[in-house]
Amino acid sequence: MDRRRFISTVAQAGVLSVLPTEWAQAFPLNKELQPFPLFIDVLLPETDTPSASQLMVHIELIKHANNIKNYPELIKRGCFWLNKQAQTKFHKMSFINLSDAEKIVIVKQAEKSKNGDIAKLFFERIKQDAFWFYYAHPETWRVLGFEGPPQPNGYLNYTKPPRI
Amino acid sequence: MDDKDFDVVIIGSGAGGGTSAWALSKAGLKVLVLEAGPRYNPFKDYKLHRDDWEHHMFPHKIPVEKRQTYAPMQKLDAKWKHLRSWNHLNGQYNPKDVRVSYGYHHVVGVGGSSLHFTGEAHRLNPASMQMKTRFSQAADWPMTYADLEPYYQQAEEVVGVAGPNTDSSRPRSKNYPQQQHALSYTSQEIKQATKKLGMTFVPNALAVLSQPKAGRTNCNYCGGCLRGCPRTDKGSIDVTYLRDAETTGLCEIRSSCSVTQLEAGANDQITAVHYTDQQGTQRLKTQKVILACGAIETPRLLLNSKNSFAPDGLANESGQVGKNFMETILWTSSGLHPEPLGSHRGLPVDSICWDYNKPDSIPGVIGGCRFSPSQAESDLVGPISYANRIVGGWGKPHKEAMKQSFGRLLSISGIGESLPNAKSFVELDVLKKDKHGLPLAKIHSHLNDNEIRRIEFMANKCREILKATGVKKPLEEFSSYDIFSSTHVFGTCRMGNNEGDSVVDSDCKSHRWKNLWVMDASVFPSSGGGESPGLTIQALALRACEKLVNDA
Repeated sequence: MDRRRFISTVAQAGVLSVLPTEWAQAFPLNKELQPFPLFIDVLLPETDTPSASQLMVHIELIKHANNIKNYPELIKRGCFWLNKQAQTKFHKMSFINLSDAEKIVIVKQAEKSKNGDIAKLFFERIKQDAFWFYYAHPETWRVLGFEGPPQPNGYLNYTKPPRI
Repeated sequence: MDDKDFDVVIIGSGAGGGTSAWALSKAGLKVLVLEAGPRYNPFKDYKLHRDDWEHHMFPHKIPVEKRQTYAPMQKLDAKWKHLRSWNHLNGQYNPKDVRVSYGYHHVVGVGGSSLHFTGEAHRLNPASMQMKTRFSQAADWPMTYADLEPYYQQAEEVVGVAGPNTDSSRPRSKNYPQQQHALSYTSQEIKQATKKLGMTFVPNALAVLSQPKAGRTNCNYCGGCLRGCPRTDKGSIDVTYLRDAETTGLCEIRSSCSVTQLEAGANDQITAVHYTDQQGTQRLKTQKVILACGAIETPRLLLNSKNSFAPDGLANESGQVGKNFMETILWTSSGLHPEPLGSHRGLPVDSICWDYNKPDSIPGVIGGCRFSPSQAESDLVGPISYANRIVGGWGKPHKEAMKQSFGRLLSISGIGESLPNAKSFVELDVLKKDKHGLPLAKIHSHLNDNEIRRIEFMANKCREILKATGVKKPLEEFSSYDIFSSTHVFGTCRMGNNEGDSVVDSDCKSHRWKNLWVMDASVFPSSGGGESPGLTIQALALRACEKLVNDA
């Protein structure tokens, strides 16, 4: 079955169709986007495995976004929103000037925003796509007990309990 | 070979077409296979070796999503709200109050949908072959299991099926040609846990090599069958029947050739096949035609081939072409097991429970079902799917939860009988046409209460099984109740002895057209109780081709 492959298709469905088309613009990686790698590092921080930006997930995501209508503008507006919150909530110039704890406060605020708000759209879409690129890096697999990719070695230990 | 030399033209190269090509070329006939899709190279096209393997499902070269259309589906009833599809992070998969379609999942290419199948190689339960006589449902098969048994055995030997020799409900004349696969650690856990429910999980019969065979290596249990097998241990039609057929020198395969019309003449004969290739439109005179495009495209081609001799569509004298459509009836529950299982490892459907497979085994419901693990079919075997559908969250708690969760996901699916009804059929869509200007097939799907109650039974059992293994609660469930999503489709050119209510006879030959056969799942009079149809299609084709050769 792939008779049940449907589920991932839906799970990966985007939310960008609600954005107006006039937002489509070129997407340079410039100063206004400096919060972006820090934002995805709040989502996927360094632990016993690298952070998202250490694996260049922000670059992969930006390349990906450039092929999707309205996506670059969503990232730009999301970063603007992060900076704005840094200023109004913590009186700092930018999201990049915040402590880790302060960044988490703002990301939680984005998560709890109303459906349809830019902050919510930005949070949901970036989180989903950050996971998509981050977990395609073998550096993230070892601590999960995932010994992939599936080929060429397969899983010849498949009848045994997994190695922890 | 020159076009005029072909004894038989076969349209489609999946289970029916590929098997026919093998049987006829082995018997010394010259055959031409016309396939709408391209060839796949298992060693180059599949992506399971890449770090971003999870980004790549089966690499369709011909997009399949828009090859058919779907009629509006039934309104959903609040009394069945416990049968809706949902995910604990993403909510309802179908938030509407009507059933929606996720599509007919198939592959257009040399080898057909066998390229993305899990390898299940099932014999039909004999008890499911007399549904009309026993239950006044569907139609009886115009043959017995015993009639088919030698051809099942032959098919199993050609593709190399590994399975248990202990299934008393499906008598065998010989053992399986390959030793059964050892159960994965996950299936061992399921088997043990479900004993207390009185259920029996056994090794599944699979067209996947447990030992090397004829230049094909044995399986290394990567679980990636659905994304295309790069080792050729999976017995897809391209690396088994078709490879052998081509070595005879009597079988030519023309890929990327779309058949647009069967031309009929006087004396109830098909006279030519029209198809398009890169050079344009071709007209090929033919002596015999085997149609094997599956239960959606086969009736479409017959209906699109109407002519002055057959004004209602070719072979549609009974009015049954496109009728009796049967689909995949499915339930899946998924949750986290309390202990690490490494559940991404092993064959996708390595064990199966046939306890409720007979058509009278579900209390109060006609038609049976089967149960099996389904992590791979649910696409829950990699870190990305875990992150987005099972674990969720973000930050350090997310990463810790990923470590705690990965490899513990358990999915259990039930697949059940689909009985035909008057509201389920395939017709031509007069508004939507393909690039050749031909109407697309339009699928009408409707579930009767009997089907919905079978889904309810499967849902309850899947939840019971999960609970018995120690899963506290499901995290995702998928249901045919609110979403049409079919790989296995059947019935739209039903076989039967009575030409008034069937399209082909028991030898898969058109009742009227003397040189036309249909050899795919569209001839199935009933669907069976959740068996995968590939092996039965092959057995039917082997049997029909034997008759065709003997009569030639």
